[in-house]
Amino acid sequence: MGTVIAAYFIAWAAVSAYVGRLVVFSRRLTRRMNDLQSREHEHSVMNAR
Amino acid sequence: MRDHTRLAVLVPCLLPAAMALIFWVAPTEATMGEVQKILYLHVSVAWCGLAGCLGMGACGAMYLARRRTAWDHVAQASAEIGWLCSTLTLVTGSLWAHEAWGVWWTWEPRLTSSFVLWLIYAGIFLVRAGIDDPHRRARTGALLSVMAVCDVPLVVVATRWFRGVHPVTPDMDPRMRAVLLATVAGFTGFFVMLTLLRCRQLRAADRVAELEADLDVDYGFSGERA
Repeated sequence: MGTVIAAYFIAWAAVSAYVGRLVVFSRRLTRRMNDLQSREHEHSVMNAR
Repeated sequence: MRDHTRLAVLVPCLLPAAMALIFWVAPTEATMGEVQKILYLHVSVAWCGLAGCLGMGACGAMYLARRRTAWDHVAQASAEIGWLCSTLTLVTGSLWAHEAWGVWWTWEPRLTSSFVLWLIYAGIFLVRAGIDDPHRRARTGALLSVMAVCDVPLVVVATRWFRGVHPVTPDMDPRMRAVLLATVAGFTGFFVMLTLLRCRQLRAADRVAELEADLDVDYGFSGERA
């Protein structure tokens, strides 16, 4: 039974690590996207002036 | 967006359902006992690893024909998921081999061709990581992806064409077969969802890279670094 638990645990850990990586990157991406969009807005306001 | 979110909530429920079937519904095999339950996981990830390679090759071919970045995103996402599954195939297969044959690894045809598939995935990532220009990177990646597909039939027919110790298609109890099919379907759904999410992320990373270029700032975002 130990081998079975080891196999399923390794699979769970690997998939969780990949999903975790996606979540972390997604958060960074959203933050940067918001930052860049506000900068873009500032640029367009300055250009309009 | 809403569809994706709903999918992202629903599909992961398939995995606990598959686990419940494996441990509570599937009968214990007479010869190998509990260890046989590795088979459900091993076959599912092996199928997803092969499907990832086929998806990567098909999207690579579409990129070469149409030159649309969206195809490169799908190819990259498929490659990542396929590599993850391929790694898990080797690990779970090794655990199985230790219990069934008394060795962690043997250079028999099915194992060797699966290991070659894993090396091909790793090679594609290394080559892509070494190219800065996104169009050249996508073109080279697409060419390699199309060539990588050649290994898939070899993995499939390895047990029939060459003499090896890997089981071909063992006779199974109907309940075991039903659980195996359900598990494969559950894992496939989960990994397809991950591929779709990763594609969306790569598209957003490209958008950020475009905005960076327009505004002349650099956060270091590009699809490849994601």
